[in-house]
Amino acid sequence: MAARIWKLALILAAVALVASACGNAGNDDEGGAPAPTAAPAPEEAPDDEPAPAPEEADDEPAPAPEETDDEPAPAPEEADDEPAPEPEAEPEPEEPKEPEHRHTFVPISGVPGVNDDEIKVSSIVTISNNMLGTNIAAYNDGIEAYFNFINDTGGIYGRELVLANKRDDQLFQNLAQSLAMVEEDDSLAAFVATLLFFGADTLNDAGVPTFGWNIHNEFADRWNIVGNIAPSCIGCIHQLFPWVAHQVGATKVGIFGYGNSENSKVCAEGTRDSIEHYSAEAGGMTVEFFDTSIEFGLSGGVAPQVSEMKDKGVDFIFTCLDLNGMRTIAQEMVKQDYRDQVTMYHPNTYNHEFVAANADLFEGDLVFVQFVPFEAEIDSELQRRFFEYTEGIKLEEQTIVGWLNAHLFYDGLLAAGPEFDRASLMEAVRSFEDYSHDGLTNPIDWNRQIPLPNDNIDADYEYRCVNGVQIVNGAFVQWTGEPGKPWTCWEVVREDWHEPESLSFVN
Amino acid sequence: MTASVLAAGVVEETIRAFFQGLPIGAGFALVAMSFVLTYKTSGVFNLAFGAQAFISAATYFELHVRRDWPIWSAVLVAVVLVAPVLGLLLERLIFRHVHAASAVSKLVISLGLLVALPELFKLIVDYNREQPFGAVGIIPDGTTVYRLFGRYPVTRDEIAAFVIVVAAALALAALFRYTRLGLRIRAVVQSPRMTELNGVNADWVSSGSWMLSSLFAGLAGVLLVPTTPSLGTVLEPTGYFPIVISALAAAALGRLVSLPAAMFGGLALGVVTTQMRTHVPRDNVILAELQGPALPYVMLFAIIVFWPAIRRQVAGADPLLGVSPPPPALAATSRSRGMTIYTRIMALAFFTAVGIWTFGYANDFWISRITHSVIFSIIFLSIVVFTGLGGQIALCQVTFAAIGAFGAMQFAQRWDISVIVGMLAGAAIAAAVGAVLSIPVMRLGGIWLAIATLAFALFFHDVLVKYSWVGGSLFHGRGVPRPEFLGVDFSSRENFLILSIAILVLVGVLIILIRESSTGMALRALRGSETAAESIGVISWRSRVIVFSVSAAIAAIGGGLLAMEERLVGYEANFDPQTGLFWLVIVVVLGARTVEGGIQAGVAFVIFPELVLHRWFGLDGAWRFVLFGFAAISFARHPEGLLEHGKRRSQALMQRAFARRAPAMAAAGAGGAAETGEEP
Repeated sequence: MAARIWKLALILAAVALVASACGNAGNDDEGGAPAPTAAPAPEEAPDDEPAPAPEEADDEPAPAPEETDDEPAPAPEEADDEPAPEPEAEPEPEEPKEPEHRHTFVPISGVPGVNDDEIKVSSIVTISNNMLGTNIAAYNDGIEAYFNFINDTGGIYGRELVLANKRDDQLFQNLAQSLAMVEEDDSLAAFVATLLFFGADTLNDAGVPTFGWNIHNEFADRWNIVGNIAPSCIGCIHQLFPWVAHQVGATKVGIFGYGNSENSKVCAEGTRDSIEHYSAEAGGMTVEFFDTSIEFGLSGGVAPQVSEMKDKGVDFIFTCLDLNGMRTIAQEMVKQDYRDQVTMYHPNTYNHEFVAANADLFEGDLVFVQFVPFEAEIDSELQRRFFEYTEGIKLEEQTIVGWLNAHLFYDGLLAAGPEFDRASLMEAVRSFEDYSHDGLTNPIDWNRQIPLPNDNIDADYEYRCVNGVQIVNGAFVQWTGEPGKPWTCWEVVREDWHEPESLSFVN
Repeated sequence: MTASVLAAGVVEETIRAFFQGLPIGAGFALVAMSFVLTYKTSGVFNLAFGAQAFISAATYFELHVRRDWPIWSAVLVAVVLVAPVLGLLLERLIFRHVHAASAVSKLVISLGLLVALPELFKLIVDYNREQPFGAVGIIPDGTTVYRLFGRYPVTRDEIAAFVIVVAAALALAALFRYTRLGLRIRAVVQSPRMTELNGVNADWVSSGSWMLSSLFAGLAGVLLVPTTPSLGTVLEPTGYFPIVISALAAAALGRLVSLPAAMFGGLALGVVTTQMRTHVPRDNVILAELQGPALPYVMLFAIIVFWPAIRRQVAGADPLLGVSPPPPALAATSRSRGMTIYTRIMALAFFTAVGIWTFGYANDFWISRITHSVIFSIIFLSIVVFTGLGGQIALCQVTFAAIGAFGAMQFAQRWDISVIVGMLAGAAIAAAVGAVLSIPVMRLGGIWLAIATLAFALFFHDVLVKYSWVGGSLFHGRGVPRPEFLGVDFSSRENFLILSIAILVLVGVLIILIRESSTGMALRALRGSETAAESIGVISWRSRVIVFSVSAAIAAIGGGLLAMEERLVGYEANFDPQTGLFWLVIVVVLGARTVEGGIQAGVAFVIFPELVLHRWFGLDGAWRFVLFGFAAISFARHPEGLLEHGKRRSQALMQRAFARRAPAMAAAGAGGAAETGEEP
């Protein structure tokens, strides 16, 4: 017995020794855990990244080489042999107003994806095994439409923009596809629209400029990754929710969130907290029903939940669900003869085909998006070009996300100057301080809005803005704002209850 | 007055929940009955049922929604034609040839088919070419609402499903009870040879049985679509899997043979689920779980473990079933010394070459792939322990791996403690969970053990993962750093690969030691006959607990390493329970009895699709599911695995060659000696 105790003591001592010898590797290579408040400065980029651009890049958006700053330097002689685009030879479409160095060709070597003719990028998109059933591949359409627009007007730096490699991450292969992209090293940048984003650190640590559909926390705290919107606070208290319900005269609210998705659950809790916080100002509105026990797919249906809401007189439903979850709830409400008494708030249903196919289910509901919807015309050159270059393409939310990402990529290139590389591209993107995609999004300060702004107002937008549309006869009709000013916005610094402003962010 | 109003309200809610539960229950009942039908008519515990259901539903979707065929013609092709033909093919090409195989062998084959059939279908019809919304049902205007007693709403789809369930139960009960065909079907399942002695063509009866059960699978497939939101959204085989497993609770009520019990069990499951959702408070964290998907898995586990009929079925099975001959000795143990040296030299040369290439020339991508294959080898060694040494099948190794990954994550993120310590803590927790899990399922064995462990895996997946103290979420990666260990920084890919290889070697040596120890011998004895083993002093419960714990700990170590390699816990990508089914298939196909079998499975799992399928042949990665899934058919003939079988065959061939050469050499030696005048 004593011998056993000694053996046990020895083993425990050995384990303690090993444990004391253990630690975790330094932060250089551990991009996984987001540090909510630490915005990574360029100097903190991994050692193997190309060196950051010179300091003056921080102050001016276009750190182009000196010889091109002063005059629209003629292209070097060797460029004469190139099939240089001649935009002036083409009457249509009109060349956008860009800096003259846009067409300055400088030979570049050693930059992945860049040769004398082309600037190649890759995309990673969830095409197969897409559990939402939406057409995320439309993201590629948006990128290609924008590249066509730029190429038709002369390209950039004497080269054409090309979406050369379209990868399907098949939902579960995001990390492998990201690694493969890094390995092939034949793209200047990555464009990402995926349902899981496990390859974020791989791309970020490899210094690949990454532009994407921001529906993941992985878009925060990573210098080389930017989205169509900045990292946002999902669970924060927001005047939007009580304001929307108040606008339609609702007084009793029901809220749904998926229990097996943390973002969905936090979003539902934030909605509940917002309504309870502003209850008095919003006409005494109350949360009568709250359920985050449901699972993605709603395989067991929601009949008991709908019955309970009906019994309690709920007249407005907020959800943090996907569009299919909304349909399941709406179908059950129709079945229980309750649909007409309720307005639903949709966070993810901006899908024309889906809404048209379910027109009766969603009549009168409100759908919110974080870009200017197709139905709202504003005085934006970028919006006009979007409609022009996507003519004949079935438009999806992801189409405009791809378009916006490509626009940011192009603007970054332009600001980086003709002797660009990956590091200077991201340096340039991060230097943009009031970037609204020509009014199509809420302005972003890319240098400041890097971490999640949950407890850090300095990393948040200046305004919290939304665009709302209403479903009428299976189509969308602008609901928020006013003509020319589609955005409905609240100042972030003001937590008190106040009416929103209608704004436009067109440059 | 108030009390009576309250009581009336509760009664009203209960009645309403009853009618809301019946349609859900009808879905469970249909699946449970179809499952029972397959088992009754073929003796196969057919987990591929979900794949068969998917193929019919997807065919209907392809024809009716995508190609605008009329409903009746799409149903005719998808259900009346495709489903029975699929059943006929499965019987003729596969199950006819494994009739005498053990139930576990048939289970493994059905797992292989579950993996392979949907992927093959999707490749053939280019099913993933776009992802449109909304699969629809086969009933015209199925969403039309009627009101029972003028009060309780029910759709036409739901009425149809309920009516078909009841009609099918009556028809099948009549078939088996009152018709000669039913009697023959039952007789063929029991003994085809005895039945043939009575002039019955057992082959045709067996084929007919498979066609009938497959028809029901197809019918269930299309009927479930409108009443199951997740299927109506995106029609994928994964959508059927949880329904099939949940419905198993109903099927188990009738010990897989009683159709009425399956029907009533299914209906009851639906009704109980909605009663819980109606009456259990949602703001209670624990109780709220009983409203979600947890309930069917809890019921399934409880029925398997505590239902007396199941225990009687296990105990009362064919007495010879528990007395298996010991598995043949490994090829490595019977080869000659020269052959062993030759094999070792070749292996050394191979690994040296791979090592030089990896550390000298490979880029980050390939180093990552090789590290993944080493880590998956470690995880698969847990299957070697449980299935290769223990002779049992568990379908929750993926859960133990996830526990290891979450352990590493929690320790690093929450307390800033080394991930190595977190991984070891995760392994200890997994071992403890494995030990606790082993106790209630100890006497089950065979298919029931497999299903009980699968229920546990699904419970973990649907209930526990979302808690912040476990994982937090299915869909978001949680950062995990790489370790520093004994002063060495393992953050670089090369160093981390070295660490992974070192752990693989340690785990491999541990398994060899266990195999050669008294525990390993006890496990071999238990594989043969538990009763006989106990009669000679083997303590069966101790061996079972050890094998559960060790296997769980190894899987957890692998899971922890995988999280460190990927620097996050990609739960949905790596640790989904359905992923675990493919893990088992690939290991048993290649060889679950040896350490090298587990390692080869790890390499095949990671390297084969990337190098061979994608780069050499330009094929979709889905082909790996098809190839290894169908390869599982070989398990019945070669339970030792294809690689071990290959080794044994090549060894026999070489020995025969040596045997032929030896006399000739001897004769030549004698002749030579005569010529030279030497002594032979």
